[in-house]
Order: sequence, then C-alpha cells, then structure tokens
Amino acid sequence: MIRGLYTAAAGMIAEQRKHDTITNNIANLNTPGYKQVNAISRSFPEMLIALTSGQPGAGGASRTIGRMNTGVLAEEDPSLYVQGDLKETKNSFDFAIASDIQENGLDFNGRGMAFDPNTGDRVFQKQLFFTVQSPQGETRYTRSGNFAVNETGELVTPEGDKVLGLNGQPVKLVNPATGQTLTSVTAMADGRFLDPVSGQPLVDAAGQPLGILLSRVDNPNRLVREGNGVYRVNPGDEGTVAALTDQNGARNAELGNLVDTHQAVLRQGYLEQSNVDPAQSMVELNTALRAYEANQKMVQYYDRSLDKAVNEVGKV
Amino acid sequence: MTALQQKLDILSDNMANLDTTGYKRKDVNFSDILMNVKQQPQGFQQTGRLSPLGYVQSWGSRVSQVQYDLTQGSLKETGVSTDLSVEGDALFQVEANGQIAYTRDGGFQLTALGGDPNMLTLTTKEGYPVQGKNGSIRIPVGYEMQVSPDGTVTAHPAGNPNATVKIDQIKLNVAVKPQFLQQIGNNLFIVPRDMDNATVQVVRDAVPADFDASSPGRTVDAPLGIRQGWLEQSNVSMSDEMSDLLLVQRAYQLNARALSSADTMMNLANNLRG
Repeated sequence: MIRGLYTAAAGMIAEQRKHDTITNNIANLNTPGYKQVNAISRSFPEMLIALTSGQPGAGGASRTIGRMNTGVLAEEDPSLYVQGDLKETKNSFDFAIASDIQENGLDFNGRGMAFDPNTGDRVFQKQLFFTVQSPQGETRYTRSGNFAVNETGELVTPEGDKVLGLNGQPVKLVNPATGQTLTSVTAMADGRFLDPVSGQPLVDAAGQPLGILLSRVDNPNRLVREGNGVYRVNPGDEGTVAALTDQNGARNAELGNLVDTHQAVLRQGYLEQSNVDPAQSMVELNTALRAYEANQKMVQYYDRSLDKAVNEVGKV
Repeated sequence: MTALQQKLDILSDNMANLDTTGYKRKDVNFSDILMNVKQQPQGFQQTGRLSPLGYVQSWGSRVSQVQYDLTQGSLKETGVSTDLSVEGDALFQVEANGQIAYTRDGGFQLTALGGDPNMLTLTTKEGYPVQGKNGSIRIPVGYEMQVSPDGTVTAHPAGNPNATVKIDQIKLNVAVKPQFLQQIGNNLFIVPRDMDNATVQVVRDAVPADFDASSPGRTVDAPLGIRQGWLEQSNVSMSDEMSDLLLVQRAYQLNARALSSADTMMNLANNLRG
C-alpha cells in the first residue's frame, strides 16, 4: 500500500502533540514556578527498501534501493529549566529561588546547556529546588514557593505537601518555648529563618535551626513532572539530586558557597513566575498548526492518487 | 481560561472594594494539572534522550490558592471619635448574631442596644457589638469616648475632661493563620465552623507586650496600636490591580488564540476526506 499515507498521518499526530504541549504552556503562563515544556520529535526507525526481482529461480535475489523513514513521533517533552522572573507578592510565606550555578570551564547558554570542552558531552546547568513531602511520605521537588502554614503549624504547599526543613524533616513553625505558632518569619538568602522581632535565628524543639531545605539537581531533565508544579525522581536516578541539609547543625558548605558567591539566593516575599515566553509560544503554535495542515494536505493528495488508481485507471 | 476567568473575577472584586474601609485584597495562585503519562517501551531509551521514559502530558492550569493579603492599608483621618483603626497584624472582634467574627473595618458607631436608654453600645455599621476584654463596650449617654493606642476605652462627660471613667479595653486578635479565615461578607471574617480555634490557633488574643515597640516579649513583627479618629482604607492598590488586569487579559487572549488554533486543527482533521 501507499506508505506515505501513514507517514503523513503520523506527522499529523506528532504535530498535534506539539500543539497540545504549547497550549499547555500558554495555559500556565501565570503558574508560579512553571517550566516551559518543549515537545521533541523523532523519526520512525529507518528501514531498508529493497526491490525483489520476482524472477523464478533467482532465489529471491533483491537489490537494495535505500533507506527510508516512514513517519515521525513526539518522543519526549523535557522542560526548560531556566530561571523565571521574580514577582514581588509581599506575602511573607512566598519564596522564590533565583539560581545560576556556574561550573568551571562550562559556558551555559540561554537554555541552561553547555558542551564539555573535553568530552563534547552536553551538560545541563544544575538547579536548586524546594523539597516537599507528599501526603504519602514521598519526597518531591518544586520551584513553586507559594507556601502557607497549616493547622498544626507546618509549612505546606497549596496541595498540602509539607515543605522540608534543613534537617530533612517537615518545617514546623512553632515557638519551642511557648508552643505557639509563629505568625511570621524572616528568611535569609540561604533559607534559614530568623525571628522577625529579635533578629535571632529560630530553632526547633531539638535546638536545631529552622529553615527551608534546598536540593540541588545535577541534571534537571531526569526529573519527571507530576502536575501541581512538583517533580519526582525515578528510581535509579536518585544520584542526580543532593539535599543541601545542615551538617552538624551548621550551614551546608556547598549551599554556603553558592549563596556567598551569589550563584543562588532564596528570596522571601517573591514568587518565581512561569518561564514561558508568550511570543515564542504563539509562533510555535502557528508553526505546529501549519505543519499539521501540510500533513493533512498530503493525506488528501494520497487520497486523490488512490482515487485515480481505483476509479480511473480501468476506465475506457 | 476558566482559571484566568476566576482571577479576573477576584481582580474585579478587589477593584470594586477600592474604597471599602478595612478591605483586604485577595490574591490568586495557579498550579498546573497533570492528566496522563504515556508509557514508553524500553526501545525509546535512545542515546541523546534527555528525560526518563514516558511522555508526560498535562492539560492546563487551575486556581490552587486564594489568599488574603493582610498588609496594612493606608490610614485616613476622619476626626470621628468612633472611627478606629488597627495598626499591625490584628483584627477587631465583634459578635455577629451570637457568633464571633473578626474585622479590620473600624468604622464603628454608638447604638442603643439592649433596652437600656442610658447606655450606648459600640457597634459596627451593621449593629454588631464590638467586643472588649469584658464583653460589649457600653458608654453612658452624654459621655465622650476616648481610645488609647493600647485599646483602653475611657469616657468622660461632655465638657468635663477630668471626670474620666475607665470603661473597658478593646479586644484585638492577632491573625496567626490568616489563610484559614473565612469571609462572610460585610467585611467580616470568621474561623470556619469545622475548625477549633483552640487547637488550630487561627487567631489568638493580643498580649500587652504586643503593643510595646521596645518589649522583647512581643509576638508580632510590628507593634500593634489603635488610632482613634482614623479609618483604615482598603489595601488595594489601583496600579497593581490594573497591571495585573492587563496581564490577565493578555494571557486570556493568548489562551483564546490557542483555543481557536486547536479548533482550526480539529476542522482540518474533520475535512481530511475531501
């Protein structure tokens, strides 16, 4: 049968996926911490085309014509993990991470990617994430820092996931001396909390400093979107994430270095806005639509060819 | 688009209350929705692939949170002795039809309640009595009311400032978890009925140290205070709301374009045959 018909149909489906992805980006233009998603297409595996001679006795000898691909599919849709704009909200439980982690010898481009000069490998910029715990007790990562205090004084996301603190346990904003919930805190650039009245570091019941735990993700592409702005790490990929927990009650040395060299900062009263580029999305939307249309036309042309073959070849 | 519509509704609510005394603006936050993950077989694990196996598709966004912005509104002098305003993160307590409610709207008045012709009660515009440490605040007829910064209410007969009598102290409540407060209209907030304030601590009583800027025992960031003769204006800023409105409108437009583009796509699929 005519292969091109299916090739064009596969093109339509792939363009539709791309269109869906862009539409979703546009819908999340105002979602804090949302990272733009890009659909990446891949061609179907190549196949070898051969001409069989069809002559009896030739032993089915065939002549190779060449290779061809018979379609395309939307293979993956990784997010673009570059920094979003920060927007001031003045809410003291809104936090935003601004990070630009540099590595020696690597020059990251605007899409957070660089090529290792020695090996030529693609390297992605490391990113910091908030660490949260789902109600099922699983660790998740998010860039959306619109938190609130729940009934028991724990810092939670709008979905009820608990925000983890410097010791890897949920942050509980309770004054250990009085047992009362703290009405507000002042967060420092490294995530530690200060008492807004006295300016003294806040401590939990065990005397450990209170604060928000940041996790460093070495290759953010290994994160899997779970919706609601949270990401998870698949089994086997745990090595890509390092929680920058306190070390013996003191600030994590790596986090301290990042903050001191202004490569990362936690800002209170700000939210990181979505990094979707509306203009680019609009252009891509139109491109996907027109590519879809072109594929649709191809299907129609094939249909017309078939029409001729079926109805007109045998006509007298 | 539905989520943006909700944001638009809340923005217009804020803008409509630009001149409502003690109104606290609301803020909307969004979150993305994940609907399905297409599983992919091992064969998809090719060199150069960035992400783990699976094709994650999400479909839009939703409103995840509507928060009150309880920051201080600007104060406006009215010179009316029953107009009070709170400075700091605290709320007046009133009794609305037997239920405890909280408000920032200090445009009070003296009303004859309870059948005693010689006593006037400090109430809100709706007639709900304002609560002091010892219940409703009652001022004898013909007396002038004074409120000190810590909420102490005194009164003296008109024209005789020396014969001052202490009436009560206005009860202020610190909003510990303002996000749980439920708005019931008329600028009143309540603690939701299914929540026990004693355990959850949505609001708690202000302690004397909270009024003292130099006290180390203060439990709130900024010292509290009550100002007589001033009214707190709405904390809605027209310029912020307008810029938000523009942003939402454009985002809405973009979503509408995406919708019509998707519609065109469907049309193309429908017209595949001829």
